[in-house]
Amino acid sequence: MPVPTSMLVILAVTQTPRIVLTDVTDASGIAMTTISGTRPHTQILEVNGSGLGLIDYDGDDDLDLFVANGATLDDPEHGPGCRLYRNLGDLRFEDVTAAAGIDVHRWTMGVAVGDADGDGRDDLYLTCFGPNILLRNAGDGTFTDVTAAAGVGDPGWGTGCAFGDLDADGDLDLYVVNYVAFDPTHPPPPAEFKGVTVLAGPKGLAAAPDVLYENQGDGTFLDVSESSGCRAVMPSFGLGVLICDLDGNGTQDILVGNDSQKNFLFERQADGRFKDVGLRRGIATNMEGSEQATMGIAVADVDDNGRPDVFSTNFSSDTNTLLLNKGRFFDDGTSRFGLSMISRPYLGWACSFVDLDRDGDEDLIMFNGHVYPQASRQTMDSEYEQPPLLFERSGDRFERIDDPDAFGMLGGAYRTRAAVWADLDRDGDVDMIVSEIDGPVRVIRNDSPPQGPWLIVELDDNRPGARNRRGLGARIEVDMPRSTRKRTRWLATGGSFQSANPPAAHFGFAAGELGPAPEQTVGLTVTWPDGGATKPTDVPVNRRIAVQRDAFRVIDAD
Amino acid sequence: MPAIPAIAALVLAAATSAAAAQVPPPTGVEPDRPVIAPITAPVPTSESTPESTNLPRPDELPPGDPPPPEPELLPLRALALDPHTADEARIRLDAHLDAHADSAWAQLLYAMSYHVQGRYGSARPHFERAIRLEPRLSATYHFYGYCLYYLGEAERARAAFEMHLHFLPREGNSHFGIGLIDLDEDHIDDAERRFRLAIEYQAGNRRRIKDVAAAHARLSDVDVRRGHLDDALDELDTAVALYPDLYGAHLKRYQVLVRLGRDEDADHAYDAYEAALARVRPELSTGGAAPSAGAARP
Repeated sequence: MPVPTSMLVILAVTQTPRIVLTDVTDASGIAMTTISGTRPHTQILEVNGSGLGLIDYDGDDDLDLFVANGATLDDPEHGPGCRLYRNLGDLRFEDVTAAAGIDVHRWTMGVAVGDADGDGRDDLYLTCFGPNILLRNAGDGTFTDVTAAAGVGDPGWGTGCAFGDLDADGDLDLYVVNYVAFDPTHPPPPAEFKGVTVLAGPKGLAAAPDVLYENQGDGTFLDVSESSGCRAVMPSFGLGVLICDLDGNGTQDILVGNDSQKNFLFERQADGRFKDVGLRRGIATNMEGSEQATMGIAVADVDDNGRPDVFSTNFSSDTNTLLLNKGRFFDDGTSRFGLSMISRPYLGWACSFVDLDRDGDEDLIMFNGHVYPQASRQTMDSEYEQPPLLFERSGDRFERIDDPDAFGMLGGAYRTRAAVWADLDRDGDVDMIVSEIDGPVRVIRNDSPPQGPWLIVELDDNRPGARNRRGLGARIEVDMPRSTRKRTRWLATGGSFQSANPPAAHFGFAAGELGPAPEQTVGLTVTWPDGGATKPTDVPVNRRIAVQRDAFRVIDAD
Repeated sequence: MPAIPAIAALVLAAATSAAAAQVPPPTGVEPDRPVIAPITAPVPTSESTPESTNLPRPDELPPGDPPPPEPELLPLRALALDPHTADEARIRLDAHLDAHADSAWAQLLYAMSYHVQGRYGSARPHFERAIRLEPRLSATYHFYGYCLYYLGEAERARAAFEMHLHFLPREGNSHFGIGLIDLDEDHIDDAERRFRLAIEYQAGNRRRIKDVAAAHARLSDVDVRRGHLDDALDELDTAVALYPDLYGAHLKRYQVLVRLGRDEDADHAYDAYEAALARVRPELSTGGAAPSAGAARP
C-alpha cells in the first residue's frame, strides 16, 4: 500500500534505521475521535480517557478493534458511543458497531477481553462511570448485553479490569478496579498543584473499593471481594491492574496500581484467599518508599532471569519505575536500566515491552500526556501534550530514541492515554493502535527492517470442556538450540492502561541466533495456567502458531 | 511531592570567600535535596566540563568576589525560602527587580522561592538569569543543579554541580547530587565515591545529619546493586540511627532484611517504617484513607 512520504517516519537508532513506524490511520478506515468530557477539562472524570481492546470477535484469526469512548459531564449516560472495527487485513478496518449490535453510550473507561462464559469465544467487559457492562460474543458476529444475568454490573467508577483464572478452577474470573466516588453534579472545589489552580482529585475524594468476581462456570459471576480477602485492604484510588503469576508458584497474582497510594499485590494463599503482600515484596512503592500513580503496567523479563519484571508509568515530576523480580521480592532497577531521570517531565499511561525491531530483545515504548490542561514546562515542569518515549534495548540499558525527524509521534506532542500492540497485519512484527483523549485513534504500522526471524505463539486449549482456551495467564519459554539463553513471555492480562492486548507472545531473534535458514527451529515450553506443560520441539520460526495441549498448529507463515 | 522535616539551616554561599547569609529553613523540599553550607577544603572534582550547558567555564569567571546582596533583600530571604510565604516573597521581589533589574541576588531568591515549592520549571529561568547576571554566586549552581535534576536533565545538572564544586570543593551535597546522577547512569563506583565524599564532608555538622543519613542510605543502593546485602544493611542501620525520620531508609532496610531471610527483624523494620511515615507524612501512613480535602496529586 502506498504511504505518503510525509507519513513515513524513520527512527534512526544508528546510521542504519532499525525501527520504522508508519502512521497509516488515513488509509485504515478508522476515522474516530474519542471524547472525554469537554475541553479544557475541569473535572477528574474527564482526564483519564478510555481504553482499547483487541479481540478476534469473528473468529477469522485476525484481531479486531474495540474502542471505548467517553461522554460529557452533563450526560454521562449518552455519549457518542463505543465502536467495534473489523480487521479487513493490511491494516484496514471496517466499522461494524451497529452490525455487531453494540450500543454502548455510557461513559466507558476500561476494556477486558476474555471468554467469560467458556464457550470458546472471547467476550468484552467494559468498565464505566456507572454500571459496568458485559457483552457476550454470540458467535454470529453480534454481541449481547448479559450484564444483569452475569451479575457483573458494578456501579462504581471502574478503571482497569482483567480476566484471569484466579481460583485455579479452569474458568476466567474478573478483577475490576475502581477509582473514586465522584458526582459530576457536585464536583469538589478546585485544588492546587505547583501553585496552579487545577481540577481536584483523587485526593479529597473517597476511594472506591475494587471488586473480584468469581466465575461460577455457568456464565454467571459471584462477587467474592470480601470472602477472597481482596477487601482486607484500605480502598484506594485504583487505576490499573495486571493479572500474572508474578511469584512463579503456579497461581495467578493480582497487581493493582493505585494512584498516589500503595499498590496492591494480591498473592493467593494456601487457603485460596488472597493477601496483599505488595509492601513485603517491594512493589507497593518505589525504592524510596513513595507511592506513585501507576497508570500503565508492563511485564517482561528485563534482566533475563526467567521471572516477570514490572514496569510502571507514573505522574510527572516522578519517575517511571522498573521493578526487577528476584523471586521473593522486587528490586528497583529503574536507574540501573536508564529509565529514571529521563521520565521526570512526562506523565505516562500506556506502556509495553515489545521487540519492535525483531533483534531478540524487547524495546520499551510508552505514551504520555498530562491531566491538567494548565500544565506547561514552566508552571508544572511538564507539558500538557507530550511525545511518547521510545527506548531501544541496548545491552543492560534502555537507550532513548528521540530523533525529532523520526516517528511522527516522537516529534509531536499528544494527549495519549491508551495503546494496544499486536501483529495486526500478520507480517510477523508488532504494530500498534493508539488512542488520544479527545483526539484520534491512530493506527501505526511497524515497517522496521527485519533483523532476524520471528515467532508468534498463541494458545489453544483444545481439550473438551476447556473454559480458558486462549490460556490467559500462561508462561511461554523459548529454547534456542544454539544458545543457553531463554526467552520468556507471560500471557498476562490488564496492564496497558485500561486496555486489553491479545494473549499472544511475540518473539524476535537476532540475525544468526538460530543458525542458518531454512532449518531454523526452536523449542517451546508452555506452562498452562493450571500448571500443565506442553513442550513442542523443532518449532519452525517465521510462523504464527497456536500451541495446543499436545501439538501445535500453524496459523500464519511467511 | 514528598515533604521533609524542616531543614536546620540554609546558607547561601556567595563565593569562594564563603560570604554567606544565614536564612531560616525551607520546608517541603524533596527528600534528597540537601542543606548547603560552606566547607572549603579542596578536593579533586571530576573531569566533566560545563561547556555543553552554556554555563560559564571557571576560567571565564570575573576576578574577585561577587557583590553582597542589596540590603533590602535581607528581609526577603526568609520569605523566599519558606514555601508557605514564597508567593508573597515573589511579589516583593518583583518590586525590588523593578528598581534593580540587574540584581542577581534577587533573581536567585526568586528562583529559590519557586524551588522550595517544587516548581522547578518556574525556578529555572531565574537561576539562569542569576548566573548570567553574576556568575560568581556559587550557591546558584548548587540549587540550579538540583532544579535540573528534578527536571530530568542529568548532564546539565551534573555540570551545574561541578561548577559549584569549583567554588566549594568540599560541599558534600553537590557531591551527593552528582552521586545521584552517577547512580542513575549506573556508574556505581563513581556514585559510591560521591556518596562517601558527601558523608566525609558533612560528618560532624549537626545541621547535616539528615544529609549524612541520606548519603548512607544511597550507599546502600550501591551495595544492593552489587549484591552486597550485609553492607547495605550496615549503611541503612547507620542511616536510620542518624536520622530516624528517614522513612525511605526504613523501607529499604525492611526489604534488605527480607532478602536476607531475617523475617522477624524485617517485621520490626517495617514497623519502624510505618512509625516514621506516621511522623513525617501522616496522610500516607493511614493508607490514604483520609487525604486532605482539596489536595492535588503529588
